[in-house]
Amino acid sequence: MELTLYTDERLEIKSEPTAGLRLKGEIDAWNVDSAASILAQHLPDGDIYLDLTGLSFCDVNGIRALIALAEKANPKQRFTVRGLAPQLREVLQIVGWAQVPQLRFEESGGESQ
Amino acid sequence: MNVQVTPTDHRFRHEALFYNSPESFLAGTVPFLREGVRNGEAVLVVESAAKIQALKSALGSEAAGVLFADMAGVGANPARIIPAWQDFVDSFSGTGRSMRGIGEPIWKERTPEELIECQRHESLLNVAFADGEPWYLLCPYDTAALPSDVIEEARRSHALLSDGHTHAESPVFRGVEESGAPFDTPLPEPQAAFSRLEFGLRDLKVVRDMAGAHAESFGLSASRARGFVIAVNEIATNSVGHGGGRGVMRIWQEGDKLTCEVADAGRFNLPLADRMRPAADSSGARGLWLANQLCDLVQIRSVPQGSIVRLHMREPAGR
Repeated sequence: MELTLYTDERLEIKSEPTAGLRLKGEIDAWNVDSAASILAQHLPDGDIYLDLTGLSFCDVNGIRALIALAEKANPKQRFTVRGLAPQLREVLQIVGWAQVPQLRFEESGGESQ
Repeated sequence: MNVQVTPTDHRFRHEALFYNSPESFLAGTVPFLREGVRNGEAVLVVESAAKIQALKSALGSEAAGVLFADMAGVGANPARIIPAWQDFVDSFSGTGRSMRGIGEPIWKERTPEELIECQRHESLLNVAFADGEPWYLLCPYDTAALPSDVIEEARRSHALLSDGHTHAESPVFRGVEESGAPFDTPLPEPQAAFSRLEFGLRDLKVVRDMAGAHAESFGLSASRARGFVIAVNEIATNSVGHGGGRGVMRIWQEGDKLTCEVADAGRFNLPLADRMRPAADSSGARGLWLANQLCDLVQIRSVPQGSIVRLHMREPAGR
């Protein structure tokens, strides 16, 4: 059962039992606070999967918000981000956030790190 | 004759070296580098590939004691040079080793916009390293190739001047405080037709779409176009966050340059905000830092109405 947690004209956040939380659309300053608070409210107690394959844009504050979620997760929870676009990974590198110990990145197709 | 001046002076020593030939360049730099190597200092040279080659030949085996970096890579966007020096200083501060370097950010092929930003960079060095561990930076200027107003500005941005033989305090140095004063050198109006958009928080998507459309028609590669859109979005986001909630974007193509300007009512109070590596947990000026890493040139101006930021991309790719 897929559950729509949030939707605005640019972003949709869905929860799926197998795929975890799935984001589609764009995050910028206009919706970043709403998106972050929805995600924080719906983080599971177990391992966390965030599927960003459908996220076509995410600004730096949005990336920061995603990192903050990972930092807040229980160290025993595996926090996996799937499908982060290459240019957003580059942004992660530039602003120096690529090394969050709790955070794992996965390509849409399979595991890369 | 050398005045006894060493980096053990209790402040950052920022000195312009005026040379007018390949020989006088080597005469002014090689003894400086040798002295550093023999003192066991950390030594970094940021120069053109050709000058690095000439220095290595002249230094011989002592070149092994010197770090070299290509200015064409490090300083293509001059706002990336201070972070490179900061990394160098951070690596050796507290190790007991003194530090010295040579950096030549200005050459005659610099475009007018790059030149102005290089001159700003030279002034900002005085601010960036005023309070840290003292070190000695020598900045060669080619007086045979550069116009006299560029040499005159070098005399204002450096506390010390040298011709390779003598060292003297610059009588016209503007001082550390003035070096970080708000920068208000006027920017030229676009000579080409431009798109204009007044935007607020809701309009950031339109901002991105406009930037993306221009990047595509200008012919930026896909990855540079995405970088440009990310940078434009961050600067526009600063406007809606700190710049009074609104901004005005103008974007145009002129020759081999794509330029996006964002103007807003915000005040730009931290002269180094765009060239300090952001801390992982801060929410500071990441947008400007990012813009400097993603764009070929970033110009920031304080004007009576607020602030202006211009982001430039050149083609063929400058990175």
